[in-house]
Amino acid sequence: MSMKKNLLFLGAAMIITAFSANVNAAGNTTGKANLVDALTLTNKADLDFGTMCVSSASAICKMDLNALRTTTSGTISFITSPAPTCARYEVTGNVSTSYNITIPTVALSLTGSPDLTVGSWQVRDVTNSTDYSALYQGKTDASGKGIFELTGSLTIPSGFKNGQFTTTFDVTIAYQ
Amino acid sequence: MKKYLILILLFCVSYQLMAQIPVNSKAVIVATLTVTDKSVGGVGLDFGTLSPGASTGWCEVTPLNVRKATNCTALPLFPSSVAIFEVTGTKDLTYTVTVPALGTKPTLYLNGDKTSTDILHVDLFKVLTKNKATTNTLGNTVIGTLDASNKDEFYIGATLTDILYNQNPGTYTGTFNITAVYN
Repeated sequence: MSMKKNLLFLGAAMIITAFSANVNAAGNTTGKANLVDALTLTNKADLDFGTMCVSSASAICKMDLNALRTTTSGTISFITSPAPTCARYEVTGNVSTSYNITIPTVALSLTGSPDLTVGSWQVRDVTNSTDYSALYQGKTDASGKGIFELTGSLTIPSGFKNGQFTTTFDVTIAYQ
Repeated sequence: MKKYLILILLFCVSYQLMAQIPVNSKAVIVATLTVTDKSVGGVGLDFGTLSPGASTGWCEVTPLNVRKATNCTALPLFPSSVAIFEVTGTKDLTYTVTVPALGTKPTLYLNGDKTSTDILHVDLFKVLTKNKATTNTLGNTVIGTLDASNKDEFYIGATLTDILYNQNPGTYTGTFNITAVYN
């Protein structure tokens, strides 16, 4: 038997609630697919708290989104050169689309010293000039591009040693 | 009954809905900057012994301890000595030394008695650092650099002023503050 109609539905995100091979009337169902551009993330600047002299047993250094460092606990003298930097990222993806930013637990290490930890993250969506420190998110612009920056507070525990503390951590973004 | 065959072709398309990238993070903690007095006998800046002249005089001692007296006489048997400070911190870092600004004129009192009206003043402070031989001109700050052994030294000279022709004899002492901080 020849088919009178062949209905072809294409979909990448299709929900089919009912299906029957024997029906009395022709029916149409809708298919919908939203294709989004792939997200890409490029690191443009590392998170660098710079150089400091800690003269108390422990301390906390807060670096704001302008890379301005202040002492929130203990006694720290900041050395201006080399200059500290906030981490900076470029995003490409779908136009005018919000994305979430996921930041893991970060600890900077130096052999023989307890780790320095980074917390109280601050996030700025540079593209939209919005502080998203509370939401950890950003939004691409009309061309599908976005830039965000992040920084945080560095906790220096008692027993720390002098030297260069380093780490590498993964920042993840995903469409909302 | 008509049969309709509905063909459903479901494409499974994989899109990159998230992205991840490793980021480097760094912080450097350096040793506390310390300044230790290394002056001869721990007396700091010493103008030696002077004899007043016929009019108000002054005596300059350079950071290299060259003494030059004007309208007064410097007695060679009682030479001058400069203030010498050793700085310890973290190698290759720079620091700024600040001495009293021009015109601040810290006071030296006869026998160190701050109630005494017999006084002298110190002005025109000069600083010379050892590692980079940096010095100040009219400013009151100098930048020094710590060497590979985490050290530097700086030397301070100045000019003793207001030495009156009838200045009462005795030992005049006083203090002034210098600071050294990382840049």
